[in-house]
Amino acid sequence: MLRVENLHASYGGIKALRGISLEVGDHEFVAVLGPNGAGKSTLLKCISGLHHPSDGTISFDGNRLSGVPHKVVESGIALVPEGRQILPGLTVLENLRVGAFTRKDRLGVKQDLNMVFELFPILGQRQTQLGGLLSGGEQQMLAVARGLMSRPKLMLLDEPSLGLAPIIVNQVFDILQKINHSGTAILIVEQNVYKALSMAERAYILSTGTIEKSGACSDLRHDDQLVHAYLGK
Amino acid sequence: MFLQQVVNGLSVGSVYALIASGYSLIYSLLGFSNWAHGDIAMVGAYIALIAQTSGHVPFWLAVVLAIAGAGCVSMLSDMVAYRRIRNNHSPKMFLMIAAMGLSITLQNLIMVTVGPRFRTYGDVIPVRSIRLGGISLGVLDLLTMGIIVVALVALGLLIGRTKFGLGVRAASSNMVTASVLGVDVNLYIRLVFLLAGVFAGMAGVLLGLKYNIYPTMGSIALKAFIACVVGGLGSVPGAILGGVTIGVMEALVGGFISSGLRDAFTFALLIAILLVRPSGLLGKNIVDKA
Ligand SMILES: Nc1ncnc2c1ncn2[C@@H]1O[C@H](COP(=O)(O)OP(=O)(O)OP(=O)(O)O)[C@@H](O)[C@H]1O
Ligand SMILES: [Mg+2]
Repeated sequence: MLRVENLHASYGGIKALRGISLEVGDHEFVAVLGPNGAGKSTLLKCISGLHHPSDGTISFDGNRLSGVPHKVVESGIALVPEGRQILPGLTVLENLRVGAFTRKDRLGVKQDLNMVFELFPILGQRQTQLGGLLSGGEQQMLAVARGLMSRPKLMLLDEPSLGLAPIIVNQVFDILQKINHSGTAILIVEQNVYKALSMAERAYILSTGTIEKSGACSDLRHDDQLVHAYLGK
Repeated sequence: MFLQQVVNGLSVGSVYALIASGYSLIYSLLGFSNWAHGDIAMVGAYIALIAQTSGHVPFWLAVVLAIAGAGCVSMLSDMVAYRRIRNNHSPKMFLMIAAMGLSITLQNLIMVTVGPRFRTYGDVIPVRSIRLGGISLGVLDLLTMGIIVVALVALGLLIGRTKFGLGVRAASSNMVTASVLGVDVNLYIRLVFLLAGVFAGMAGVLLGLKYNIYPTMGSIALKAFIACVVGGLGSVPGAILGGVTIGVMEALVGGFISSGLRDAFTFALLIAILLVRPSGLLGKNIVDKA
């Protein structure tokens, strides 16, 4: 479904990605793990068109991605960005509607609104509240729900657990698993290594812009050396 | 007498509000002061004049051409002058300097092609006035206020109730986030310039009808800018409130104190607002510019 090949990216002179390749299959749940500054967010930015790679290709369903953010959304990829990025002056409902911006099927959007309100009852209760006034956990729920509103085939999530209490982290991950089971592929960037390894099927370990290791999460979980070396215990 | 001045002020203030609302829309989206916005109004006034005098078209058609033309010039100004600077990650200051350059270019262009003389549309609107309980209401003033109220209400509905408006608000809240959510931000910026230009074109013709048409008539945008700051930069309702406030204040100062002090009072109001309430009358916190 998603295929990244030999991706290079830099900011001015700083090289953030040095030739990484990875894949996400249909309905797969894949994690990218690695320390701060490894290039995880840069990878997601390149896929969603926010940053232009200096080399390499990114293709989705066999087609090269355009690198234009709204077209990437149209092709079926939603980004839940780092730091949630709720639009603070818009209401919860308006934030969700912006998430469905590329869609023309009004009826489907209505159904999906009901779907996300079922998935996140708190958002249903807070529909008319300004997004900026939600708590951190509620904002993360809104960010995920907003990502769902484009009805993506693939969802990219950048550290959705950041700054959340453990109980909320569990809630968010449970919902991600539900989303995945209903057929949406997931590529998640995380620092919460144990949680991510227990949820995802496969993982890539990214360090200073290169992929150090990859494999099934069930194997990586027991790779003490790896956990120690790259992720810290 | 007092009421008469208030009414006069409302008429001028509504034109300020019309220019200021477009100005404010652009500011809320791009965070820079578009100094060429008043000159777009001037270009609109001249398009109507040329259509009327050289094209010999009926005045209503001249007005339609002026509005459409001003909208297009505004949109082109983004595509030619601002777009590259925006996508370069350059400081906002560069946009403002480009706008100043564009302002001078448009003024010179008109001076060279049409000439620097003051012009008028002639008697297209009857100069009659209607008396109503001691107040005399000019037909042109009534028409001006009526048109502007309709335009601003339509703008409010467009921004508040439609998908287009949602896209504009999302983009002005956070351009990058709006783009990853599927808003074609470059398209929306272009459409906002078009809309602001249409409003400026209307204002230009209304000003031309009330006063004169001349190459530097766009300097009225300075008042619109002050209106935006007074009302809250980037807030469209604030721009409208600021425009009307300044219009009424100017009329009262002109009528009761001295017309020479009008501008001094306007700047004094600006400074007072900046000292007491820097975010403006209806300004929200700085984080959210929507
Ligand atoms: N806008 C930018 N300008 C310059 N350098 C940047 C920019 N964004 C990221 N970098 C650099 O690129 C490298 C990779 O950054 P990136 O944000 O992708 O890391 P990350 O893995 O997401 O880290 P974190 O876990 O802290 O979010 C870092 O060295 C960072 O300093
Ligand atoms: Mg990051």
